[in-house]
Amino acid sequence: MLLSAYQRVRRRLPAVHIPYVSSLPASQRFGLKLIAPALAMMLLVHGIPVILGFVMSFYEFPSLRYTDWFRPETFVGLDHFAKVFQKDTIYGAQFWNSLKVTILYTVGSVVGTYVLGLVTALTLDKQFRGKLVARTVILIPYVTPVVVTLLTWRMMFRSDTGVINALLRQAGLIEGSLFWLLGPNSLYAIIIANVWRNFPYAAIMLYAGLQSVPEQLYEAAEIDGAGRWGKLRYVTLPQLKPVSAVILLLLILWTFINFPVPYILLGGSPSESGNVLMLLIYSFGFKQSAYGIGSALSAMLFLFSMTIAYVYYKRVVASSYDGGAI
Amino acid sequence: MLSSLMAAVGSESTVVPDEMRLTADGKELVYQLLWRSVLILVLIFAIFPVWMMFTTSFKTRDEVLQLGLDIIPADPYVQNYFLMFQRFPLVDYYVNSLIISSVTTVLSLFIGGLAAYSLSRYEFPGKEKFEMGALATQMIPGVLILIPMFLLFIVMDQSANVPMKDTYHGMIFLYTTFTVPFTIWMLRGYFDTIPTALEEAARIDGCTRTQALFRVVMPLAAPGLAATGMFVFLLAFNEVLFASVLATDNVTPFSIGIQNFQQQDQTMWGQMMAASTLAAVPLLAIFVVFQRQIVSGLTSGSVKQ
Repeated sequence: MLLSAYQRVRRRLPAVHIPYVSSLPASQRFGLKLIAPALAMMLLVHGIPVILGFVMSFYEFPSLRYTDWFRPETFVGLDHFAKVFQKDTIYGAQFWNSLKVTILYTVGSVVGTYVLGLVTALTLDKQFRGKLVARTVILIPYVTPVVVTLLTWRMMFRSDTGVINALLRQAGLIEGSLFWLLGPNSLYAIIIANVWRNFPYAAIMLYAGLQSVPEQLYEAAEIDGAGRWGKLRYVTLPQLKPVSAVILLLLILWTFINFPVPYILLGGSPSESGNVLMLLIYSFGFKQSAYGIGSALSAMLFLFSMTIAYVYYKRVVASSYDGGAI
Repeated sequence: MLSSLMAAVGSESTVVPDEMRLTADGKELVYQLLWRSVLILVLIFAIFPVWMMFTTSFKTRDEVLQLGLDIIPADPYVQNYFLMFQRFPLVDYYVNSLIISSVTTVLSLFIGGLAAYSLSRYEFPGKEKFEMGALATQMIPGVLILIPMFLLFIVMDQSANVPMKDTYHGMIFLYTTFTVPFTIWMLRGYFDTIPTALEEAARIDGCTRTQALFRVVMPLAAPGLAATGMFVFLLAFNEVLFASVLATDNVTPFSIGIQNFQQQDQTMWGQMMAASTLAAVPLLAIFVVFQRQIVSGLTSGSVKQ
């Protein structure tokens, strides 16, 4: 119904002539037409604000009339960037600390998520009853609303009455209580919650990868005398390389610019060891109204994650797809 | 290489006296036990927080604050499910989230679906650039967009008199755009699995390209659309960064509103978990129903079969 209405309207409209595009074959024009809405929205919401964000990082914002920022006298050039990089300014000290924390958070989360995901995928790849139930349960962390589960983690991490400290005490690992959400342990808290949240994704992707390993390779390895470990080491892991490359790239990017996990677990003003860059920028922008510094930092974060993605893509993803066994 | 490794493993086991060595069957048994217990541990790890959320929602304030491991509350306290509505306008939060997330889902599936279909079937100039661009949007840190967006929304309100901040349409517009690249990524994999022969037959029978897309391909992609839709819904439902700045007052979504249970002096854990359970249960139910499609949708994009 909608379709015929669209076509009725369409027929009444005069033919639009766009130079170049109109000279393309009909199928190409149709292809372009289909991406047009997506492209327009992405330019509006991603394109313009990103450019504006870069421009804004060169300006100082008058604290009260901050919408008047685009004026010649508020242009400060690269001052914000310089401030951020100098270790002895208040911004610089926080930035270098946050950069370190963000990198630790990313490495810890990605390694944890990948290893746990791989172990899960390998155990799921066996034959056993209740496999579908197991797969469903494993995906639960990934499909439960993240806000809700993070608040639960926050509850479990409480120092005095949290269940995690109670479990650790029961196991005899600690005496008294650990502070998870304050002080140096907050880094571990956000890593654990993030691993919990993302490992089902890694597990399911790797599991799908395991399904596509040709059976003949295992048979061949068996003929060569490979045991379980040999098959895992010389057949399974190399065959998982392409899919692992994609998973690792996504996990790195998701963690590097992850906001909900640190924000909900640690709140808007975390202690030093949990102050990831996203939280730092958020507090500059919306707590201290330092929009200029906030923009400069987020512009750098963007360039940084683009660089990681590009280098990684060129080095690992592209090469493992071209030269890989699949 | 392989054989030398095998030899090394073999020689190591000579330390074990003969009668203590495991037989082939014994080894198999140990191995079975090992991976089964690993799987059980993983399952417990996966479900534990969700279980804690569920049981805490049936605990009184005192029970929550008591130290201990009572994983199953002895005496369920259902009061939480009623009291929570009195404290904050929870129903409003749910409704706001539902409106924003479901409209976002529909729009994102439509706009992203068109683009995904185009990428799957047609060649056109700039295709590769568009693909890279869509991928690049996933690397933009939210705050880089948020700060200019916040100011743009205010400017639009003040100078053009178009309210954007704290409105449904503002949030829906933003979320739709944020989720479109994801939709494209997932649906493209689906469209790739649908044989082109069907559309070609439809075209020969006199369908236009648009008709072929909506009458032939879209119905076939329905399971994929359902699975993608669930993830888009989740993404919109879970968003906190933009919502915490741009959606306050009357449009406060659940993801922001529920944090109100946590206050300076005390947190109403029981009621908060009751509200959480109420939000999670419908989504978990949808997941269980559509899980086959969701799993294949998740994996179709990046695993080459």
